[in-house]
Amino acid sequence: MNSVWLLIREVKYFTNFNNRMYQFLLFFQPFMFLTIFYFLKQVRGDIQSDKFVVASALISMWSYVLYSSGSSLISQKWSDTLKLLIAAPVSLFKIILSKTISNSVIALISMILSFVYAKFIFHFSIGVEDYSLFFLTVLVLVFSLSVAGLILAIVFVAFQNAFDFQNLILMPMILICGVLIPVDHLPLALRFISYLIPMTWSIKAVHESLLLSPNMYTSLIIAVLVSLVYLAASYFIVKRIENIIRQKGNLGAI
Amino acid sequence: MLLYKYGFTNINYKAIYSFQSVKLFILFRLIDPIIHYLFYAALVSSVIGSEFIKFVVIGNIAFYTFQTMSINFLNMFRMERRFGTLELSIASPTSTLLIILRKAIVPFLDSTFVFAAGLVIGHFLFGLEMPLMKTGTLFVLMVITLFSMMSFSMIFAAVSLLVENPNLYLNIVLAVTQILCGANFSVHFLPGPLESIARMLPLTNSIEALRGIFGLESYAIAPLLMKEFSIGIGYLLISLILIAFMERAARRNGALFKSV
Repeated sequence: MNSVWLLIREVKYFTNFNNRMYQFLLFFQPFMFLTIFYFLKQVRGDIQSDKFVVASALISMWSYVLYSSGSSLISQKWSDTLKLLIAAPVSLFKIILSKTISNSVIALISMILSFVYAKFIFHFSIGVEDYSLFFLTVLVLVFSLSVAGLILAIVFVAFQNAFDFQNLILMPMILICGVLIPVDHLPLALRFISYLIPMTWSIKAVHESLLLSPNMYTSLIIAVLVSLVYLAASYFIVKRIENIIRQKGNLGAI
Repeated sequence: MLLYKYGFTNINYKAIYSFQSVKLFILFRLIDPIIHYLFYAALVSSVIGSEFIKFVVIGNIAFYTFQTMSINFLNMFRMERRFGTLELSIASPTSTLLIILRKAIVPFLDSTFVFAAGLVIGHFLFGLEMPLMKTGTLFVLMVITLFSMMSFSMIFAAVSLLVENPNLYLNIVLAVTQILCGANFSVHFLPGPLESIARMLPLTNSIEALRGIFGLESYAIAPLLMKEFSIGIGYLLISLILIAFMERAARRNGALFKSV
């Protein structure tokens, strides 16, 4: 029940209009990318827009998860509330996980808005043949994004000045995960890295669900499995961080 | 003595410029632009085809330079405000404009590097053929473009003092500029009123001239450069008026924008 309340409070906090930066990522960024797609479509009219509506949504979702989940733990450190979380009767892992899940759920607003903007402002055709399958792949995507957010939260708190490097992670991940260009078109070494990233598989499944490709189920299963591996690894790392903080009374190297 | 030895601009650079190590400079002035160009090249080639990559990379080299200039200016004003030295600059007997221009040398040099490095990156990564016969025109274009960007950035940074969230303001201005200035597609595709606005922005004419120099579009380059220069002069005049107004208001109220 606590987790549910935490989730609701996180959603209320991040969708609060006082968080102007997050409003930009959620509401304005998908509009910006769709505008670029719209005018590129004027250059060549025969392009399929559904793939790019989804791409615009994925770019905004990933941006939001990167900035919000990445800062979820370090912002607690800055506001001096991390020690309260450590002292809380709930495990740190559960707290971070609920934050990253809520961030991924909120990121869905970008996807919904992308579809709304695409349909009613830009009049793009959205060729989702089977909404239930599409929704299933989006659910797995939310799970993968939550796990990625969890990893980001750990990485950001472990490195000083990690915020300076946020922008350096943003675009390469979009390029490597197959949002714009299929992973199979990347060089071999990049393809290898790409397939180790949990979102790659779920993004692949989302694209495949648009085409009703039978490979979609394989991609979905791999996406869940890869995400679970990272989830387990994150669990042990967060436990270790928690133990270090409890033993030393400070964040040490973190 | 200290000012004589190290120079006002150098002291200002040490005080508020973000990238003071070689590692950070390489990361943010070479790697980050490469990622930016790759991203938009991938985006455009996936939407309309790889034959448009050079067209888009050229546009984004100019846009990234503008982004560098405007972020530098905004940060300069923001840091000055945070450390309380903006009021001191205004209160000093030296002209505020002169102070700003001396400080502007850092963003100007930084953006010049980004622009030149962008063209080199474009050549090696995306096959942009350097127009050796038009080196002089390219140099004139670079100077004019950086001048108009600087004039615009001065207004942009001054207005940022009025807004509650400079980061949001920065992102919106950059996003709108990216769409309107034709970095990724020709401004001819914009609806009439939007194209008129685009023509008044500092980048639009330069990007077209740049594409003309690199033979990607057939434009008369001289008129475009003249337009860009006029736009730069226009923004400079507006920024002078704005700075004079800020200075007078600050002296009268004894503070800069008390409500912020």
